[in-house]
Amino acid sequence: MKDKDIELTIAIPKGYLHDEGYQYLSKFGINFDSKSSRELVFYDRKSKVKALLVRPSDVNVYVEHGSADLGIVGLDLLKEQSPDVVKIKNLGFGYCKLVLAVKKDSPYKDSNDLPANCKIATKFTRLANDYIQKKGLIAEVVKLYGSVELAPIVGLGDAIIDLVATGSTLKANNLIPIETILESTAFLIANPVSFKFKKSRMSPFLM
Amino acid sequence: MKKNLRNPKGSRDWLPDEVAKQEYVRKSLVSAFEKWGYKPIQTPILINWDTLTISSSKLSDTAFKLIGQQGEILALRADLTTPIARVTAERLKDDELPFRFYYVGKVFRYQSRKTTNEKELYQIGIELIGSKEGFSDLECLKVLHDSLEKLGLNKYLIVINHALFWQELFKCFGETAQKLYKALNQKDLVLFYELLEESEFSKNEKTFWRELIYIRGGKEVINKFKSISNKVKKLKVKKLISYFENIFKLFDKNVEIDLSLTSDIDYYTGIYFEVITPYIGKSIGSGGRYDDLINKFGFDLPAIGFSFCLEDLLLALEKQGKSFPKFKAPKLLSVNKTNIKKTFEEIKKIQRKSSAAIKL
Repeated sequence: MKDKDIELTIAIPKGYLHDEGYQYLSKFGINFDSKSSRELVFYDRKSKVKALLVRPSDVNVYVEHGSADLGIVGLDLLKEQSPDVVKIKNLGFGYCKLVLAVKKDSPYKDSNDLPANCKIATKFTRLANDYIQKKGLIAEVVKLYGSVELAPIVGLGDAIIDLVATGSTLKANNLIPIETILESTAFLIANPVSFKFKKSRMSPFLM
Repeated sequence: MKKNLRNPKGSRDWLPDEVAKQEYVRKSLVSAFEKWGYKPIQTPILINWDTLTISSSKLSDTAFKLIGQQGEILALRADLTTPIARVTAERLKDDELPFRFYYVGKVFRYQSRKTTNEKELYQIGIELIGSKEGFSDLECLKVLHDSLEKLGLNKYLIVINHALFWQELFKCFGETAQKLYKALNQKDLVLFYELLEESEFSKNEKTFWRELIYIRGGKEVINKFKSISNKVKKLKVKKLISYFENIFKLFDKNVEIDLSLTSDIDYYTGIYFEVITPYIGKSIGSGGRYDDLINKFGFDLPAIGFSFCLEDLLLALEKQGKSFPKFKAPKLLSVNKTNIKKTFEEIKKIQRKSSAAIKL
C-alpha cells in the first residue's frame, strides 16, 4: 500500500474549537459529509480522511493512544494533560485565557490578597496547582467538571481558575478576572508513531 | 479498612492461552537470536540502588526503591542492559571477546509509559559486547531485522539516528542546540520553531535546522542531508554520512534515518534507534550503542544492543490479526478401576507423542 493511500484519522473537538477546526481542514481540501447528526465518525472518502468528533478533553487521549493520527486541541488542555504527542503547530484560532477570577465585590485585587487556605474551584487542577506553587500561595484546589462560575456564588471557594473567551459568562455571574495564568489557542498535534509512519500524509500539515 | 485482594495496579496475570502467545513471541525471537550465536544470560531482579543511579538518571527516576533489612538501599531492575553491564565487568574480564548475550526478563518501572499504567513488563533483547562501532552495528541491526521477520510482523520501521550528530551540533551551535534538542525530545515542534526564530543563527543556519528535522527516510535522504550540511561550514558530518551509507548498503527497506529522533535513555554514545509499527501508537523496541556504560562498572568495553517490550510486540501482532498456536487439550482416559496401573501405562504410551491425563 502506498503511503498516500493510508487513511488519516483526525480527532476534532466538539464545542469551542469545532467550527474553526473544520474550516482549517477545509483549507487542505478536507470536507466531511455531515456535521450535525448524532454520528461521531465522519468521512471524506476522496481525501481518505476520517474525523472523530470527541469531547475537547478527550482529543489528547485519542491521539496519544494512536486511535487518531492528528488532533486539534487547545494549549490549555495540552498543558493540563501533558500527553505524549507531537505538537506540530499553533493554529492561532480559538483564543482564550485561563484566568484567576473572584467575585466582583470581593476585596481581592490579585492572587496575593487571597487568604491562606482559601479554596479555588477549577476544571484545570494541574495548571491550578502549578500556579499556586509558582505564586507561593497557600490554597486548596477543588475539582469541578463544569459551570465553575457557580462555585464562588454559593460559597464553594473564594476564587476560580477558568477559561474566558469574551468574559461575558464571568460578567453575567458577577465575577471579574484578576490575573491571567495562560493564553491559549488551538494546536495541531500528532501521534508520534503516525507522525513517522504516515509522514507523506502528514507533510501538508507541517507547512 | 477494606482489604484489597486484587493485583496492584499496573501488574497483570497471564492465563495459559495468554502464556502460549507470550511463548510464541519469546521462542520466535530467541530462535533468531540463537541463529546469530547469542547466548542467554540472567541477572537478579533485586539490585543495588547505586548500580542503577550510576547507569542512568532517567532510569533511576522511574525505578522502584526498596529498603533492605540493614537499611541499605535496593531497587528492582528497571532495565536489563545495566545489570548485564555490571555482571560483564564483574565476572568476565578474562574471557574472550566479544560477548553475544540475549535476555528475557521482567523490568519494573513506576511509570513505564504514559499511555498505560503497567509497572512490570517483559523485556527481551540482545547485547553485543566488546566490539567497537563498525560491523557490530550492522550485525545488531541485522539481528533486529531478522527477529522482526521471524516474528511475522508485516509492517514496521527501524528509525535510526546517531549521538555523535547531536554532539557535533552542540559543539557548533552551543546552548541553543541543547535547547532545540530538548524541544525535540519533548516532541514540541512549536517550541522548536520559536527557539529557532529567537536564535541568533544566520539565515542559512536557520534553514539548516528547519530542514534537518525533516530528514527522514531511506538512502534517498542522504543527498539531502549532504546538501543541507553544506549550509553550515563548520559542521563535520562526513563520517556520519558514510556510516549511514554503510547501513543502506545492507538494508533497503524498513530502515530509515530520522535526524529528529532523540533518545530517552541517556547512555547512548553512537547509533540509537527505535522500532515502530502502525499497529500501535508507540515504539515497540529500542536500542543503541553504549560505549561508556560498562566502564562505569570497571571494565572499558564498547557495546551495542536492543530490547523489545514483549507485551507491546504481542499487542501489535494481535492488532495485525495474527493467529497464535494454542495449547492442545490432553487426551483424557477413564481410569480402569480394577487395573489402575494399566491406565497409567496407556497414558504413558500416548504421552510419547502428545499429551494425556486421567478423566477426573
